[in-house]
Amino acid sequence: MTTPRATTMHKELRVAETKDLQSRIQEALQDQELRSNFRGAMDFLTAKRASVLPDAAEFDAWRSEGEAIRHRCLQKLPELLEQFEAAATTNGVRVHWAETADQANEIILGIMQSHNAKRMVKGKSMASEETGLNHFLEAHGIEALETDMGEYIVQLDQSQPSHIIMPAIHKNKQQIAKLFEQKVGVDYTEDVDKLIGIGRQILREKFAEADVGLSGVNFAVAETGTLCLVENEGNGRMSTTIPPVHIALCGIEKVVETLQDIPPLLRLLTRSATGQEITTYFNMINGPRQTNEPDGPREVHVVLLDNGRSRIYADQQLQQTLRCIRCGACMNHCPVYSRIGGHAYGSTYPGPIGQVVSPQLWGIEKSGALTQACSLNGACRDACPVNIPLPDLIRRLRHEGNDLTATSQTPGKGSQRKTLEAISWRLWAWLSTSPKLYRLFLRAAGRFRLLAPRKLGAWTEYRTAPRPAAESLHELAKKHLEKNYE
Amino acid sequence: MNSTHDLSQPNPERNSQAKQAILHRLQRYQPVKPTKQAHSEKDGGDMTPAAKSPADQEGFLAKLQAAHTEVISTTGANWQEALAQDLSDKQIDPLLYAPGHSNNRSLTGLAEKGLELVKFDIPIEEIKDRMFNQIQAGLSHAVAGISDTGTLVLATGPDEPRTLSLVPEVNYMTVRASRLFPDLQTAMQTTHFAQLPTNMLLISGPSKTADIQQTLAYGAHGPKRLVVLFIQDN
Ligand code: SF4
Repeated sequence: MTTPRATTMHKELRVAETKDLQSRIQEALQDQELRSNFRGAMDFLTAKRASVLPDAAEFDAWRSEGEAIRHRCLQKLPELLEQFEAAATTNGVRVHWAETADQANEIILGIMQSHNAKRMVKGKSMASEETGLNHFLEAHGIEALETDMGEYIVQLDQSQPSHIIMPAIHKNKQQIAKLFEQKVGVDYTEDVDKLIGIGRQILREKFAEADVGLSGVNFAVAETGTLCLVENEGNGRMSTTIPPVHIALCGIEKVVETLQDIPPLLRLLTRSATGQEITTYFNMINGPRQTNEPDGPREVHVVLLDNGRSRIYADQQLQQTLRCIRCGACMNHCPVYSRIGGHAYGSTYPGPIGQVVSPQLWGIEKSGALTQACSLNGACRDACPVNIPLPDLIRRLRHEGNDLTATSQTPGKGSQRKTLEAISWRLWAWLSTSPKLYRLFLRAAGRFRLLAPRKLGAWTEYRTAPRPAAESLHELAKKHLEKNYE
Repeated sequence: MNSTHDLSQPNPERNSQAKQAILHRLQRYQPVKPTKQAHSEKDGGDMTPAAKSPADQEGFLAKLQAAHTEVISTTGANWQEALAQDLSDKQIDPLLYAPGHSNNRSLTGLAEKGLELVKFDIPIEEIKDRMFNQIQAGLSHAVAGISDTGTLVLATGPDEPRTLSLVPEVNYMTVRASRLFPDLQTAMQTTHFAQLPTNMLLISGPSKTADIQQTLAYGAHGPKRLVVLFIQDN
């Protein structure tokens, strides 16, 4: 089967092009409207989250439990995947396995073609953003329409989500009003109820006529073969209920063992993501419409997507990435994300989790520079409901980008190495491990201190250059000892 | 790709190849310890103890209302009347219902008021257009309520179609006070979760979104109004 050009082109769009990261960041920092949109959204989300969390000790207990559940389920992943497949199949769900993004897209296209389907409505699915499904289907003459209000806005704007939970937070209502005026052809209105009403009306028609509904999955329960979806709008329910065929795209790491694993994870997810004790809908799908049932899809498919996850799984440290429940709290609390916004990262997954996931999915060569957009302040780690040590993983990937001898499986390891930087570190290591040389160097540095460079590139743009002291600490201490204790 | 193969079925050969490859790669797993040593899964804070505390009726109703759900307190004998009253006050009809549901066997109280009732006992394809464009309300019956989050548990099936609580602008839903559980974990002990229906739903309010500048708007895609008929049985 041929791979249409659109797929490749599309991937380039979503994957960070490292050389552009700096300029994207600069651009974002100078866009005052964008910055105020993000500031407002981040303040809102962090305050709402804080308002529904119990005290720190209790929350720590909750997330230790969340971590332990995700950890246990990942430990048993191969077994649970097979158990899930068996249970779902018994329920009448058709289970497909996809090794790569392209394979997943082909499977979905195949299902659509077998039904002569031309119109797809989509509930929110970050995995489908990851595989570039929309562009792929469009290249095959299939309309793939986003129906989550935020995703719909982003699609109207021919743009991409800037946040994994709130896709359109980079826009304020004036900008959305303008977009609706231009793209939908309605009168300009900043009334949010009216804008949502317009979206509702258009999308309801689409739901009614769609051939296929696609959704993501928040949890897949191995014991029962259940697909769980968490949402507020009802577009997820529409997409999985109204069209005759429902396809769920599910990362292989989403599997949990039993129904009892759900409550502790759900309370962490909704609180961390949107500051809600629970969302409007928790949708548990167990199978297609039975012959005696009047509604529901006649076919339910689930596509289990690997796309690099099994490689991440094999690494003792990086496997912790897979605990993620995609709540977005790490980006909401990140001082970098909240200032530059999601698009500057140039990746499907922005923010701290994006900095960890992207290099692992698309390689350090393409996405490794993302790990530099971090001050290692640890706010993401403190917010994460499943205790993923994000700063450690970011540091690990930074290191791996410079390490030619890394034994890990991460693609593109060593690709970020810069010769000058490497030589400088070598030199420093050599100096520091030889006491004689080191002291000689220090003395020379003190003697010729006035010759130390004043301009050190980006470092001195906002700081004064450090100047060596006339006498080193070592020398001072030695003098002090000689004077007082001889 | 194999041209004779039915594309709506997983391609057996390709599918098992991908499956084996993925499972094979997953075998390379080496365990890592969770970040904190001491904790166990039992550390889950108040969730387990809460299971022992009784469901809190007041709290349940307060949570519902906080989520913009309207509550009508009524009884087993009077709920139809209360429903009819709200329908005629708000001039809502027709009302869609599933005639097979035991609660719907005799909706005489409603018919007497001259309200138009539409039976949903045919495949959705035959009524879709009407459902999306003309029918104003759907009647559904929750099998349980969860008090700590203000949640209604809906087990869909032949007599509880999925779309009743989704497509019409107003969703009326009954729930019995005696079917109240303190939290989700406890509710999961019930038979409905032991024998899951094709679609199990936890519903905690009318459809809503905050996707435009964090401004809350109701009726994003699903019902704009959720009206709970809270049945005190005695
Ligand atoms: S890494 Fe943690 S905080 Fe970030 S999205 Fe995943 S679960 Fe949420």
